[in-house]
Amino acid sequence: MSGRGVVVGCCQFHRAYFPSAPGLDVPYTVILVRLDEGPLLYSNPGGPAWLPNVGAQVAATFTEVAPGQALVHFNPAPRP
Amino acid sequence: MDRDSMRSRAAVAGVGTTHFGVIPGYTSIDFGVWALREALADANLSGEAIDGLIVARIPDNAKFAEAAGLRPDFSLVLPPTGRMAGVAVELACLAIASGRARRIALVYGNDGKSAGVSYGGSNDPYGGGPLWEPYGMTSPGAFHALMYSRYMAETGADRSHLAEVAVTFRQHAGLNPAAVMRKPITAADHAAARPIAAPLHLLDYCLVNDGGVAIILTDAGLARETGKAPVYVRGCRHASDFTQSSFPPDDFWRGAMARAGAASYAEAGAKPGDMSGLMIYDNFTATVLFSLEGFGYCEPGTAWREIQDGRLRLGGRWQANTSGGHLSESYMQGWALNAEAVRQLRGQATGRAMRHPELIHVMTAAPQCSSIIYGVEP
Repeated sequence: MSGRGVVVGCCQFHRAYFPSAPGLDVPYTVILVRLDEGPLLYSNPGGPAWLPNVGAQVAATFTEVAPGQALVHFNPAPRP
Repeated sequence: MDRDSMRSRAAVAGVGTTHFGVIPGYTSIDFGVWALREALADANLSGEAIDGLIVARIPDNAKFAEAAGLRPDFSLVLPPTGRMAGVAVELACLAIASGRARRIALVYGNDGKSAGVSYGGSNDPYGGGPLWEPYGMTSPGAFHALMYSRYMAETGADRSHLAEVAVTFRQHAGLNPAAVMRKPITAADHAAARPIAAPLHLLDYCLVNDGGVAIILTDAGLARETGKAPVYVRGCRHASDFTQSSFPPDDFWRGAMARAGAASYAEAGAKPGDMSGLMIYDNFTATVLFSLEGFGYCEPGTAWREIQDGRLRLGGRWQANTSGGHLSESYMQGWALNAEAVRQLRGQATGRAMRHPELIHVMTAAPQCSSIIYGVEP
């Protein structure tokens, strides 16, 4: 797995469905990423400063949300 | 006619609906019994005549039959997910065509509003699990929001193009005394509605409410015993796409819709341009666009433009969801749209009647797609 992919869906949550979950204070963004190798993943942007759009090229990063527990997030990674 | 064809082997003898809205004190079985009573009266039949039973969202067919005083030999229960109405009609047609049953009651009851059902969060059986929850992904609304975000990027549509769907169906609900949400809305109201899972906002979502619907399907040879003009099931078919169904489909379910559509069109001897009116599973406004494209009313990626001329409105070329649909009449998971199709074809949709409808197409876009074509002629 290269960790690279493209955003194929993007949605901003305004209702707090998981009020106690770390990093999911509303509004938060869920993206759907198609990895270069084919699989689909739900994820979130790796940083709050980035507002993703469909078609954006991305690369995976691991975010530690609790000791020993990491989530796969994505940051913009345009390719030449 | 092809001897193996299912075309018009079954007909609707009666439909029944309860009140819709917030109706405390009733279980899904109670709503089903209420709707069935209405449908039997409409069909001019007694419960003793019913020899088949399919229930949906009602959890137990045995308990339902006991409560309703039915003695069906053919009997089953379908899961409480949406989109099962089309599957139920097809199953009933198969049972009738094969001679296993002659008069089947299809009964749906939903106490979701009073039972406090909400969508999204850890208890929602829709999706969920380790691929969804840690990232805050949940709810059918967000699933369709992700689909529409991609649709917008591929087609040039934006959020405002959904307003026509919401405004039209609300206008229709205003003509339907049974509808829950009847106050007219404008495109500006749609634009200003609070976001839930953007790009979908409140007025892009269906309602959550209580109620029930019953449909009685009979062998077409018996259909005239009701004393009313029969409504024939000219064609019906469902088709599924469950691979990767935990994720929005790459093709907006176009493949499954094309299969269900083609089979039902062939059986009915009709094509999209022949339909007098449409009943489109509108769990969300965006689903209406996906459905019109998937069932061949227009090219993929164009429905958002096509509908802006008002053709979904009563009297329009694609007049649709004349009851107000899930968005404004009641969220009866497809069932009430079937009842509306029958009422329109019988000329009983007072105040919102289509002009001389002959064929009405009921369609559902979902992992389990379905297509039913009802007609006044066999």
